[in-house]
Amino acid sequence: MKILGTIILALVLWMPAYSAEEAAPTPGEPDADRYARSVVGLEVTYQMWDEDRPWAKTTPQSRSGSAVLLEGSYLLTDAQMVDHATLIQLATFGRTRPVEPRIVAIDTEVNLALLQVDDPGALEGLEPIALAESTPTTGTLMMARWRRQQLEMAAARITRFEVRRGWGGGVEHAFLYMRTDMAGGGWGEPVFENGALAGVTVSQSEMLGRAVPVEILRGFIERAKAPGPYIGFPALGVMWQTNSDPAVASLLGQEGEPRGILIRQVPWGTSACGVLKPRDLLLELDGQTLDAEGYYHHPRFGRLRFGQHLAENYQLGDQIQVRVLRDRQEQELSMTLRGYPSALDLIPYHRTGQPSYVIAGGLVIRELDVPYLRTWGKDWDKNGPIGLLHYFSVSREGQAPDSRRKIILMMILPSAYNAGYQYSRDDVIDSINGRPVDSITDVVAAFNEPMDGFHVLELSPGSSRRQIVLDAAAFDSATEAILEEYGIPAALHISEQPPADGDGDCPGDF
Amino acid sequence: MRRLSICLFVFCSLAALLAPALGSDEQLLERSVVRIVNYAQRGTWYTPWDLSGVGESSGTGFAIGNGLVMTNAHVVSDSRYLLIFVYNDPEPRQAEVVHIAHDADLALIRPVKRGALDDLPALEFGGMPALRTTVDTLGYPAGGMRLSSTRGVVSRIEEQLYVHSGKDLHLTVQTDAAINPGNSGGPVVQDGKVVGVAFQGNAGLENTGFFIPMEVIQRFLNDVQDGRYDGYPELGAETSGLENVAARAQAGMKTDETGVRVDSVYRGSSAENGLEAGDVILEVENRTVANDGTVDDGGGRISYGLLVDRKQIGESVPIRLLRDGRRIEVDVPLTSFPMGDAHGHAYDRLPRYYIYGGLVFVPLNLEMLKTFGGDWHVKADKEIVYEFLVRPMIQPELIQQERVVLLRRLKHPVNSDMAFYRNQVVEKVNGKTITCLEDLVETLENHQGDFHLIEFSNRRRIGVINRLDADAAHREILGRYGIQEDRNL
Repeated sequence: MKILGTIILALVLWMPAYSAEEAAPTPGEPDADRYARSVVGLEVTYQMWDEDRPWAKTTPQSRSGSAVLLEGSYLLTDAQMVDHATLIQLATFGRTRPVEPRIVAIDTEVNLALLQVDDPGALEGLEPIALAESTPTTGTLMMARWRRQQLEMAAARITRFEVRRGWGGGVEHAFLYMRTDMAGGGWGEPVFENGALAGVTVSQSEMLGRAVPVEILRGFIERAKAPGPYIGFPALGVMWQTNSDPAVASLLGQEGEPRGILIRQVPWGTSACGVLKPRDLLLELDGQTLDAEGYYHHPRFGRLRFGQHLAENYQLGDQIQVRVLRDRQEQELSMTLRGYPSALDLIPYHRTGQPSYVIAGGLVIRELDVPYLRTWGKDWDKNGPIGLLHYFSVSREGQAPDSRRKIILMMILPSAYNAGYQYSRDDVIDSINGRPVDSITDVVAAFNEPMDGFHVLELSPGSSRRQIVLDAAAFDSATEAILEEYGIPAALHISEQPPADGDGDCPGDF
Repeated sequence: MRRLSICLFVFCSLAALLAPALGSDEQLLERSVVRIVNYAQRGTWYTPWDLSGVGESSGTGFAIGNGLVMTNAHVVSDSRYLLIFVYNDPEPRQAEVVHIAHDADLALIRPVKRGALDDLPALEFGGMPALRTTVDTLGYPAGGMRLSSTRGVVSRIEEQLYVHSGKDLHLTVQTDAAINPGNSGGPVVQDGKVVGVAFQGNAGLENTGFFIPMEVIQRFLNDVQDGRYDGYPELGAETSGLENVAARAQAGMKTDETGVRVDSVYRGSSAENGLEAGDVILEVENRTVANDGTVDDGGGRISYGLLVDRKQIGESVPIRLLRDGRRIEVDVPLTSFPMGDAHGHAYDRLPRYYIYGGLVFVPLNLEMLKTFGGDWHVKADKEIVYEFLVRPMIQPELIQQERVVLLRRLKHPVNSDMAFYRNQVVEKVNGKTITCLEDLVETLENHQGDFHLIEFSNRRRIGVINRLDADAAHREILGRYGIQEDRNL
């Protein structure tokens, strides 16, 4: 987790350490000079949505971090830097410029953002840097950022490579772990080797930094520059467990050393949907052998979890062959790779933009997502209500065509119209007027068809009450009056839900 | 959900001696009020084959005639050796528990040597003290050797959680007479008659103590008339208030009718014989149920559930209902609550468990969850909290089942490769659905295949153990970990 607000805005002092005029490249110049011309600061003002009052934004805040200049006036940084931004400003040579870079693409899965500056004059004195051929596997890299008009350089010793889920939670790829000397890093600082870009930091805990290595940066930049809407990285999208127990392998009919991973669950809309089945042992991904812990041999980094193989080498839509042990027989299957955007989860980990909600007779109804669960504080995944958390952390349920989101009665704005229900909060709504609901659009439609003059909401088992009944005739006027009373500007917001990446007839587990 | 740990439990512990405050009334009473010392030993739920150390605690009791002494259940729970100290008598008398009601936090004990307390004058019982009247609390707080008496005002009469069981709500009386550790089980007296038994405090309130009122005491005494304590009946229906006028209109109620809606009926509960989800309860025991679920009880309002509380198991309760537009009378025969035991603290019994191939299986219950600590809601794996609290609400058949958990493993080569071996709720073993610990024992001992396949209830995890290897290693594992018995069923 990043520590916010530890970075103090650099004071504008009238004694620049570097001036643009002096920044001409000279052969054999120190790397520091070269880096000083490619590292820029970002001053971001951002404003989050108030998850407890989804019609409002919280107070504006600011963060600062770094980006690196690439050929074509592009700036590369981490996605969290520009999340919920209301204003992005550029700082060159440690001084803020009245320049607003444009966002070209944001990928919350791999936590990267590509920006572009339209006015070339704003980049005067700066020089783009090239991407490294590959990330070195050992040794010490240099991490750089601007601090009080000075370029701060710090050594970052490579400790390991590890494949983890990205920020968004669905796509797995390799991270470069470094022991760094830079305090409070992890905000898009470029990591250099031999005058080329080897990685971009995305988080730091104490002095252990995490960067996205150039193997992923390159893929992101290509995707971001491609015409048309941004298309992200592929992922397998299955739930699996290790196959290291010989007893499990034998039971499934595997002879010799256990190998391959045991598939447990195949959610709808994922690459594996319709191809893999629970209790399959997945042995090979397009010729790459998986061991019992899900590792394969990466030509440079050695043993890595298989997610990196997909993220580094494939595009969405690619066909790959997979080898499985199913019903004691080895089989070759063909799979079309898909992404795993956060929106594909029943409870999305990340959301851009305003929450979808509706206020109906004083009932505040919204879609359940992790940004809302985070209102339970730092330990939200422990302290949140179990009735909501379990959809996220226990069942890890995927979406299904008829179950895209969980709809919750978040709270009630008390009034005479809804009297008696004011204690209900954070309950899952199963149906409204006899219709199951899995989106705010559904909720609005359901309220248009009352039952015999009443709106009847059924709440899921475990709620403090199971039914809420409202008078349909007075519904509209009561809603109006409640909005007025509580000073709420809009009764409804529906964020467009991106279509699931899966095709309609993919059944999930089969 | 029932909230736990709202109240500060009145621990029977030894602390600083408080100065005794004896008045003239108390001098008459003090021969009837005794000090009780309990040497207790409990099971340990994380090492279910083992026992805890021995703890010493003290509390108060009072003679009620027939050589019986009344006290709190929590004063004499898990007793291995029990002593009664009579006023001004240095010789303790060994005692035994006759009846114990953990759900009402009451117990009756007597000396092992019959007749040994027959010289104590029995205290008489009174009734419910009125609000704002004065009561005296007698007891041996903080382990003092001399009787202490404190005086306070009856400040509130209300339904509250009895923390000893952690799951039962009954009537309590709140007073500002100091009720401290060691007071537990002591009589609360008004006009020379017992009107309650002191039993718990509340950490959130200063200078308050709570006592068990006569209606709960009398119910306990009636229950044990047949020589056995059966406990409280439970209706087993979830109901919600109908304060909203639209809800009442939609339910088909007349404008002068009030009541509560039956939201669900628990599988195997009393309510299954008479109530249905969607019914509106209009009257219970011929008393009108208000839209907030309360009934009039001689001036004060109490929840309609307390009317059921006053009954014995085997009796029935008349309920007037509105169902599908018809007003009908049903007589619901009362039984105990099917989920009760697993959700309360366990006393006077040792943990159930079964060990196979070093895998330790136990029932899913509150004691098992408490191995995560008092704040198990937060600390325990979310999966297991969900299985305990939420899943039975969604899958009603689970209410009557014992859920079995793979608690931990005693590491050994036969199980060391297992991917999941801690706090996993077991759904099936060898294809058989596990509905109690005995099911699991049955399939693990009789299955003839080469492997046991264990399917867990979350995320379709599985575990496999080689049957012949596990069978062969079974005794050795028990020996290595110093375990006498592989099971307590």
